Amino acid sequence: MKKNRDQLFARREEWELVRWTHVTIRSLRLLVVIVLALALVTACNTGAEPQTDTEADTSAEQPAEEASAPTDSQTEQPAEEASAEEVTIEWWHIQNTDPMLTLWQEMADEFMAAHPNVTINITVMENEAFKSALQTNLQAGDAPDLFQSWGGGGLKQQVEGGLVRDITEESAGFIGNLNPGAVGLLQVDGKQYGIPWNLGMVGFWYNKDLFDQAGIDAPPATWEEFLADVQTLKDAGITPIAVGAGDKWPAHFYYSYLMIREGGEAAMTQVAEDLDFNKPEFVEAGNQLQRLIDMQPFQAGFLAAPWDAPDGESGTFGTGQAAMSLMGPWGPGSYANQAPDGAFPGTLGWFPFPLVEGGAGAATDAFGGGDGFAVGKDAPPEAVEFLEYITALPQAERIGAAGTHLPITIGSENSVTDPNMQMVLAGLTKATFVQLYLDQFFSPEIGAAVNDAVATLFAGTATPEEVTEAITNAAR
Amino acid sequence: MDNSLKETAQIEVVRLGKRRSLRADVTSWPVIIGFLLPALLLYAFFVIYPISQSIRYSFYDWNGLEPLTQWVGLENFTNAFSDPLFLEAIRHNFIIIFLSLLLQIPFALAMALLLSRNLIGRGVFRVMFFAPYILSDVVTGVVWRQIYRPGGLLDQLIAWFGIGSATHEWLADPKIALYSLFFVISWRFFGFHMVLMLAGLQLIPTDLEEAAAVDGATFWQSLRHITLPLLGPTIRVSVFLSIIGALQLFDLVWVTTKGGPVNSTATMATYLVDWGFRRSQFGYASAVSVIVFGLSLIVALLYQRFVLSRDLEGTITS
Repeated sequence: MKKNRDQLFARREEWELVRWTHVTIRSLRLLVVIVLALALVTACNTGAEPQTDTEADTSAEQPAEEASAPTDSQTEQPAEEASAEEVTIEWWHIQNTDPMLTLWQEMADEFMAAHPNVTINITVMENEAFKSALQTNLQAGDAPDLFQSWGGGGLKQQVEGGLVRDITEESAGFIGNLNPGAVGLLQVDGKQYGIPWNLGMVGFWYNKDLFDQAGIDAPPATWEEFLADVQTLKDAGITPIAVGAGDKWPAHFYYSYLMIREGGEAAMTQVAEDLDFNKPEFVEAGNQLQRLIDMQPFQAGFLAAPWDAPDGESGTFGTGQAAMSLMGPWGPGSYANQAPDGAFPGTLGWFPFPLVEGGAGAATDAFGGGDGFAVGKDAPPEAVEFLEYITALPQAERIGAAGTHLPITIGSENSVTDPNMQMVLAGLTKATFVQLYLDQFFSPEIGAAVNDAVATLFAGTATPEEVTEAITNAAR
Repeated sequence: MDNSLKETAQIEVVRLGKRRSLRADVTSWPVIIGFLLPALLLYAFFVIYPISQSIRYSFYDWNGLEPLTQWVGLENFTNAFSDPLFLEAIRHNFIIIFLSLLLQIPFALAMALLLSRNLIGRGVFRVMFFAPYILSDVVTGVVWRQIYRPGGLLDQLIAWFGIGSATHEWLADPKIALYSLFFVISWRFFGFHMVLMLAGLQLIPTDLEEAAAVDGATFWQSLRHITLPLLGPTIRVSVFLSIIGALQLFDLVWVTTKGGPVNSTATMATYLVDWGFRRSQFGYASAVSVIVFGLSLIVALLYQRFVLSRDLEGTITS
C-alpha cells in the first residue's frame, strides 16, 4: 500500500517536471514572439519616421484630439524648417565618464539648437568595446559619420578602404586655429581625414601621500632613481605600481617609453621605416623593463587586470592601493570615477617618465597622442561644421577647464587650471620629440603584436630578445 | 469473368495510383514549398551564405576594409597550423572537453541520481542547480571575475576558513586560469545536463529496479546493469552537447579573461576574434573559422556515426 502511494507520488513528480518543461518551453516561445514583435514594431517606427509630417497634418484636422498635443508640437518644429534638409549625424565617442560625457552632450545640444535641421545621435562606448564595434561597422562598409580616431596605422587602413572622407578643403577655414602637430595626427599623405580635439602625453601619476609615507620627498628624475623608489615603496609595504596588463596597452606604455629613452628619435624614426625591431636599443629597453618586472612592483593579479575597472589599474590606483600609474591625461578622470566618494584619496601628482642614463633619448622626448574624430565616408557637411564648433576657442576652453583633457586650439592654454594638467601641458610644450602610441602608430596587426609581446614580457614567459623578435616577425 | 475482374482490379489500382500522385502533385507540393521556403531562405541567407563567404575570404590576405585582391591560396591555413598560439588554443579546447567528460558529466549524473530519489526539498535543489544555466554568459563572466579577483569573495572565503595560504591569483596566474574558467563553465552547465538526465531517469520503468531489488541486486549492481544502460541515449546526447559546446567556447572566456593572461585561456574562437577584430586580419580569421567549422563538423559527424548511431536510426549519418 505504502509502495503504491510512493509510486503515485513519483508519477505526480514526473508529471510536474514534464509540465514544468512544457511551461518553460511555452514561455520561451512567448519570449521569442515578443522579441520578434518588438523588432517589427521598431522596424516599422523607423520606417514611419518620414511620415510624421502627414500624421501631424491629419491630427491637426481633428482638434478634438487634445491628447496628441505634445506630439504635434514635436513634429511641428521640423515642419517649420522644411527649407533646410533634415540631417542626422551618427557620432561615436569614448569619453564615457564625466566631465567630458556631459560636456559632449551639451555641445551636441547647443549645435542642434543652432541648427534645427541637424540631429546628432551620440553613441558612447568604452574604449575596448568601441574598437571591436567600429571594426564590425567598418567591415560592413557602414562608417559612423564621426568616430573616435587616434590617427596612425588604423586611420591609414580606413583611408585605403575608402571608409573616411577627405575634409582638407572643408576644414581649411578653421584648421589654422589648431595646434599643427596635433592636426597632423589625423592626416594621411597630407590630406585631412578628421579633426583632433586634444593632445596629451603619457607620464606617471602618483599618490603623494603614499610617497610621503615611504619617505620619498621628490619624484625620480632618472630610471635608477625610479627603481630605487620602487624598492623603497615596496619596503614600506606599499604596492608601487598599478598596471592593467590584461588590456595590454597600459603595459606597452612602459616598453614604448623605454624604447624612446634608449633609442631616441633616430631609432624610432628608423623603425617606422624598416619595421625591424631587432635593434640593440630596443633589446636594452626590454632588459631595463625586465629589471623593473623582476622587482615585482605591480598589484596582485595585474596580468588579468584591465585599465578601467574596479579590479583594474584605475580602480587599484584610484582607491589608494598603489602609488603610481603610467597613463595619459585622461587618467585622473578615471581614478576619481573609481574612488569610493568620487575624489582621489590623497594628493595626486605627476612626473614625466624618467631619463635613462646612457640612452640616446632626451628626458624631454615624449610619448603620447591625441584623440580626434574621423569623418565617415557618407558624413554630411554638417559633421565637419560640428567639428569646427567643438574645436572653436570657447568650446576648447570649456574642455580645458574641465581638467581631464588638454585642448589643442591655439590660445586655449590658459583655460587649463588644474596644476597636474598644467605640468602635462608644460611637458608637451617642451617636448623635443613626440612619438604616437605604438599600438596606434603602426597597423592594427603590428600594434597588436607589440602589445602581445610586451604582455609576455610582463608575464615572464619571454626574454627581451624574444619580444623584439616576435614583433619583427609579425611586421613582416 | 475472371479476366474482367482482373481488369477492373487493375483499373482500380491505376485510378487509385493516379489519384494519389495527382493529389501529391497538385495539393501537397505548393503547401510543402510554401512552408519550407521561408525557413530555407533564412537558412540560406544567414547560414549557407556567410559560411561560403568565410570560405572565400579564407583564401585572401584581407584586412576587412579593402577590396578582395590578394589571393594567397592556402597560406592562411598553413600559417594557422604553424602558429603555436593557435595549436595552444586548440589544446585548450580539448582540455575543456576532456575535463567536461571526466568531471562535469559524471557530476551531473550523480546529482541527477540523487535528485531523482525522494529527497526533502529536491525541487529547491533542482531549481538551484539549474539556475546558473538561465543566466547569460556575460552575467556569469562578470560575476565570477569579481569572485575570483585578488581579495575577492573566493579569497575572503578561503581566508575565513583559515587557509589563507591557499589563495591564488585565480584568473591572473597563467598556470591555473584555464582551470578556474573550467570550474565556471561546469558551474554554469552541469545543471542543464542534470535536468537532461533527470528526464532520462524518469523514462526508466521502476519495475525493472524493483525486480532487481527482489532478486537481491545491490544499489551499485542496479546502477551498473539497469540505470546506466537505459540512460545511455541521454548520456550520449549530453556528452555530444558538451563536446560541441566546448569546441565553440567563446562568450564566457571573452568576458572573463579575453583569452589571457598571455593566451593561457585562449580558445579557437577567442583566437579567431582576436585576429579578426583586434588585428584586422579578416582573411586569416576566416581561415581559422573554416578550420573551427571543419573540426566541429568532423567531430560531430564521427560522434553521430559511431556513438549515436543506435539512437539516431534513420538519419543520414547512421
